[in-house]
Amino acid sequence: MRPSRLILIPALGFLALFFVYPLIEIFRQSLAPNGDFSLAPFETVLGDSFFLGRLWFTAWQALASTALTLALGLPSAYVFARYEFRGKTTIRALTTIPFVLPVVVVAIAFTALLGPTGVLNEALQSIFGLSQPPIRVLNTITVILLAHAFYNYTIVVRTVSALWANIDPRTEEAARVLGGGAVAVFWRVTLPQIAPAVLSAALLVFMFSFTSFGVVLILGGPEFATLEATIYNLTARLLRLPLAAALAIVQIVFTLAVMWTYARLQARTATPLSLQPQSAATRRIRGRRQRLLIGLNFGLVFLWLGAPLLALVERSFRGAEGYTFAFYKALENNAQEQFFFVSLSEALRNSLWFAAVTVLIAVPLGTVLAFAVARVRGRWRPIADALAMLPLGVSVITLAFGILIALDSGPLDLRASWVIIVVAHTLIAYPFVMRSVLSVVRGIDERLHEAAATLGASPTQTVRRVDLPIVSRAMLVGATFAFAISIGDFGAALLLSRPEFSTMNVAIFRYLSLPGGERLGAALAMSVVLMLVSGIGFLLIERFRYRDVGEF
Amino acid sequence: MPPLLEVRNAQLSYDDAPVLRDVSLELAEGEIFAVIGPSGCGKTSLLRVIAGLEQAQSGEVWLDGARIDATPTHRRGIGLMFQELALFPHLDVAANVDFGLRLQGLDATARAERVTEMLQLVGLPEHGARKVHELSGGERQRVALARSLAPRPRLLMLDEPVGALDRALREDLLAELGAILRSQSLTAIYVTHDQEEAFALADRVMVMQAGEVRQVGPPLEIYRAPADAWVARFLGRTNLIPGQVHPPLPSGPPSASPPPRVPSSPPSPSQRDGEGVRGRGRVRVHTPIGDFILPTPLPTDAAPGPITLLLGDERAHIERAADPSPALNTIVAEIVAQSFHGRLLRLSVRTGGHDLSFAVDPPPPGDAWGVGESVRITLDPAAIIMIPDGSS
Repeated sequence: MRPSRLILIPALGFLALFFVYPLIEIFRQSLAPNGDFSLAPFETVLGDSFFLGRLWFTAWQALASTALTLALGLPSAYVFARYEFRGKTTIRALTTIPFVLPVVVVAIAFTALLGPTGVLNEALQSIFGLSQPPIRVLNTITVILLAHAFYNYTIVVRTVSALWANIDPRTEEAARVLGGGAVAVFWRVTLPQIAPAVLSAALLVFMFSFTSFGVVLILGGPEFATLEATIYNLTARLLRLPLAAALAIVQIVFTLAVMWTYARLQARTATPLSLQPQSAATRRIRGRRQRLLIGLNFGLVFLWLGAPLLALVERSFRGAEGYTFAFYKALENNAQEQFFFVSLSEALRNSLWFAAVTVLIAVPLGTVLAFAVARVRGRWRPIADALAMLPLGVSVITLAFGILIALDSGPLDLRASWVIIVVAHTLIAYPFVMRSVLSVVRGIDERLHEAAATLGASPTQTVRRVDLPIVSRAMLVGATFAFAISIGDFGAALLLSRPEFSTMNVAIFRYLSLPGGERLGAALAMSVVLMLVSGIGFLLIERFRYRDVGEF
Repeated sequence: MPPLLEVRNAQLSYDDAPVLRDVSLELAEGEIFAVIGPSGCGKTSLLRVIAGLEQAQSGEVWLDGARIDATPTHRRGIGLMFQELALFPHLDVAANVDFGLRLQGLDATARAERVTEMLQLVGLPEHGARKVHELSGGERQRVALARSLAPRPRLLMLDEPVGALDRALREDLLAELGAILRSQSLTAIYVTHDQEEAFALADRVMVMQAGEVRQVGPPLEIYRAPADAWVARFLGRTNLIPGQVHPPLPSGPPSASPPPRVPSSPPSPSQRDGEGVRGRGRVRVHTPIGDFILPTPLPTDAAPGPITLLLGDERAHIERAADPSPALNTIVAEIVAQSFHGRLLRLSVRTGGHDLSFAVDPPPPGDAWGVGESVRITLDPAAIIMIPDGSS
């Protein structure tokens, strides 16, 4: 056996043990909870109006979130694609910030801005002398949609502007000459050309919103719950494992169906486009009207993206008697002697440690799988692609739930160990590494391998001296993604971690659920620290990201 | 001395489509050997089989007296310069050249010396630290050459090494390439679709078509006497006329024409053998455009029956046809087109339904020929070659 095949064994072993086996356990739990075959869990999940209501809510809020995100993102995508202006690179980079922020930070930031003691309510109350906060969006669908749109805005802008910038503007000019008005030209010429990007962005947003957990749990309150949140509740709070398993399977079927539809749709809409180098398609801003339009676009975007984050920082320093470091100081000492107290340094250490180990596992795993998948040619190629990316189609809570119920006995009982969190993070992160590396591996000319061989390089030496150096940059991009994903994860860590292994995300959530007036302050302060840590991830991604690796 | 490289009866096919059909060749140490043929003729596949990048379904490859079919590419010690160059994009110029040396386990000083030497050899002494993508097409070609030369391969194979360059650059580089290959006393196989490149560079040339070897020999021999009509056409020699060899001539010069000149080269033993049967080694060929009397280099060529004549234009003499009656070894034809190419005038003529083309000295000043005029073209019998029946 070639060494390159041998190296595949631990990779496949990892997936078999921590992905396939847990999936099987989910099936077993849902179909035969006590060893006897029974459809009872499915009958409950699909027959009960409570669960059907959850499914319906999950779907329509995801659709609404997608629509809102597209409405906000498409104008920005247009401006980035079609105009050249000073500071474009910087502005573009800044729009990435929301995406790399942990959901918990986003949720807390929206609380800081729109909550009852938030910046906006306080300002309105003092201006108009109101005794009650006028804005009451917390625990409503509005704030959930806003947070989803905030979080996913980047996806739309990046994905769509990348394609839009490469579309020949002369096709639009030709349509104008042929008598098309601005609206007709957009609908009949522009939109059909950017459709693949819009579609793929919309699908990603839909998937993220469909499997949204942290935002819904923190901002939605008890009234709203997605399937993801319901599975969590059934598992962690109600211990109804067969029902959770059945619901997880319903969700998997649903997400896979959406992904399949998407693949079909994309195959049909993808038309050969006359792609232009980006510089040919961009114009300088001319005239006051354009300036105003673009200014307005970015003004709105920055207000909307920036306001929650600024509010978060402001509130974290805002005590009862003016500005103070009290919240930050309280993060280190357990003044109220809370049982579940996790100090900042502990949580930070846990988060960084888990992220580091995740990177160390996910990068080799994703790289090895990328090389293996790249070797598959012909008919089997789409199948290999799909199989290797499958964990991406399974939600975080489902992954964690499967691991939790599968690794529960014997030497595999990892429930009390921090390793279980890293395993979950690796499963979430490695598809990103793989995707990043795979696109580069596929681009390596076979002639390079042959040239290396004629110069005396054995297959192993060729991998070491040719392939790995070429993909090293993509691996670095994958590593930063893996780091950001691990730092940002809330769901898996919440479901899997013992209190002593709380990450920053989990610690923030625990603060929120503590009694007492200091609780929000502590959550705010820790969120600011978490924002800074993920900011490092953001800087790294911007530093290493380059065109060949793709947008996400 | 045994040949350095020997390929015996190599057969290769992809999905039942034959790519190499029973290809054999021998290469002596120090020889520069060109393989020419149209694209898709299997010449690149032949290189890949020799390099071990492709396994022939049957046949043998021998290098230095050892059979190497089972030896993986990286242990064969055969260099290959790819048509696409395949420079390593992640390495700078020096590191590209160094790649093979590093794998040989040489120490750093020796490697650095060799890299410098190679870069000097290809005329890029200052380019070591450059990135590959910063180089021009010609510079890349040179780096690729330096890279394949550096590890001192037993045999260097070059696949259309200058094919991607524009004409002027190609000629410069070609001359330099020849000088470099000779200076390193390398054994080389040079693959190209361009016969001029092959002729300019090689000691011997092999012509391939559809996976088969059509002819092997020194460039001049191949040009002068293509083995068949296909090779002739491939070499751009399109004056092909079907003919019929007459039964042996009686001794003595034929009376109908001035005595044709017999080639001045000394007769080979086989020619001498043939003399008894074929008189003075001449043969009369009847064609639709007139009769030709030719010296026969080999008696087997002169068996009565159908053949194809290749009319060479070396030393062709052309004049206005005052007398349209045919004569031996001459053609009377009508000028269809003419174009001037520097020293020579290319005349396209038509006779007896055949289109022919001759490069001839231009007529004296003030005496231009016009399209539609009749001319008499007297050919040098030594430039007329009999080819086995080329109705194909």
